[in-house]
Amino acid sequence: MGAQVTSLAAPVDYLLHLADNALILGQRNAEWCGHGPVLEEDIALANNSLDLIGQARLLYQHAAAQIGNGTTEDTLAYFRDVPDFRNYTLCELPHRPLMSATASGDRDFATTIVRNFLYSALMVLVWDQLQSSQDAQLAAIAAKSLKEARYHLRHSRDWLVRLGDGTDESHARVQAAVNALLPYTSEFWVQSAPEQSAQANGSGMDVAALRGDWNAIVDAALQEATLQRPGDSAFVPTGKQGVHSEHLGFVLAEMQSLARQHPGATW
Amino acid sequence: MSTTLTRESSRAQQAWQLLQSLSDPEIPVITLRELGILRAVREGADGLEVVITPTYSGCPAMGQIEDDVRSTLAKAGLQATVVMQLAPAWTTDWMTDAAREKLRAYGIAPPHACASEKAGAAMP
Repeated sequence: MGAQVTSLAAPVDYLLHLADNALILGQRNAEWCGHGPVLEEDIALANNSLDLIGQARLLYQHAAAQIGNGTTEDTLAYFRDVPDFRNYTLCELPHRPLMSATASGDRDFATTIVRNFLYSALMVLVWDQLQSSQDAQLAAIAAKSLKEARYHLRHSRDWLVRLGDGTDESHARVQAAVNALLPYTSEFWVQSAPEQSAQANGSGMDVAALRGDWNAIVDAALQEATLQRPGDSAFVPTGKQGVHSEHLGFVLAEMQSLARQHPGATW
Repeated sequence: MSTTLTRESSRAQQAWQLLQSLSDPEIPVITLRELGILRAVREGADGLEVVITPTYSGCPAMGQIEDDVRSTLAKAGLQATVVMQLAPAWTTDWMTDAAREKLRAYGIAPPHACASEKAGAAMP
């Protein structure tokens, strides 16, 4: 199926930033497939993952059409390396408390829920704004993705409240996840060069202007969940500029190894 | 010129008739038309275009649907480009009442209320 040709396109690096966020978080959430705490959650997280990978595909197809030279959604997903990825560092972190060992295979459901909450609370605002992007294809992708982000937010927020206002154990674990992950959201509000270019040509917007609305969503949910919000720190991650944590390499190794072992394979 | 237009529109109508009976690859009791995935058949710049809209971004059946559309038309000697249209985004509002009843009979609870705003409608 051919991508729609649009007169004005968003900068490629901006499309890759949006696509990489969705792909890497989709890949992370897919790690729950077959391991969910209950069957309903296993299916819910796999579907969340499928939505995100679907969003990534649409964005990569659009980016590939701008790049040309035989670039496809697959070359963008499978044949770029760590410094080429433009996702938020938040999206690549493992599903476990950050101080546990790198080789640990444990999945902490609270970490998963808090990350999905913090990300989807941002994306309902971002996709809503991008519906009026001057890049018509990006606007269409945004309108589609907004509907999905809304139920991702509803799902993760429900769990956040249930775990926070639950048992001592669930409260402690979800509070630990909030403490560990919230500092990574500072990256949302520092505009990167591609975000500035996108805003300048009318395809993007000022993400920093969403901070107040995002804080309102987060604070209301934390309060309902009887959770404390840690204070802001000076730490600002740099994933969207291509400088990542040590975790992204492991994600890419697992995700890309098959495609790289069998380049050009079809089925 | 009017002859050409008549021929083209009848070709699109013929394709629409053929595609109306195509069933969904995952839920064979309902058609793509009833589900709201099949949006329109029209004459484009490079010939016949069949417009389909995914139910959700990651829908893995879209490739199969595209193949089904092409082979159904090919049997009738028609060729078409399949256009995936994202906007307006698919909504359960597009499902016909008949489709809801078929879903219920098949054992799938049909959607009865929608969390998002209503938008768009399929070609009659």
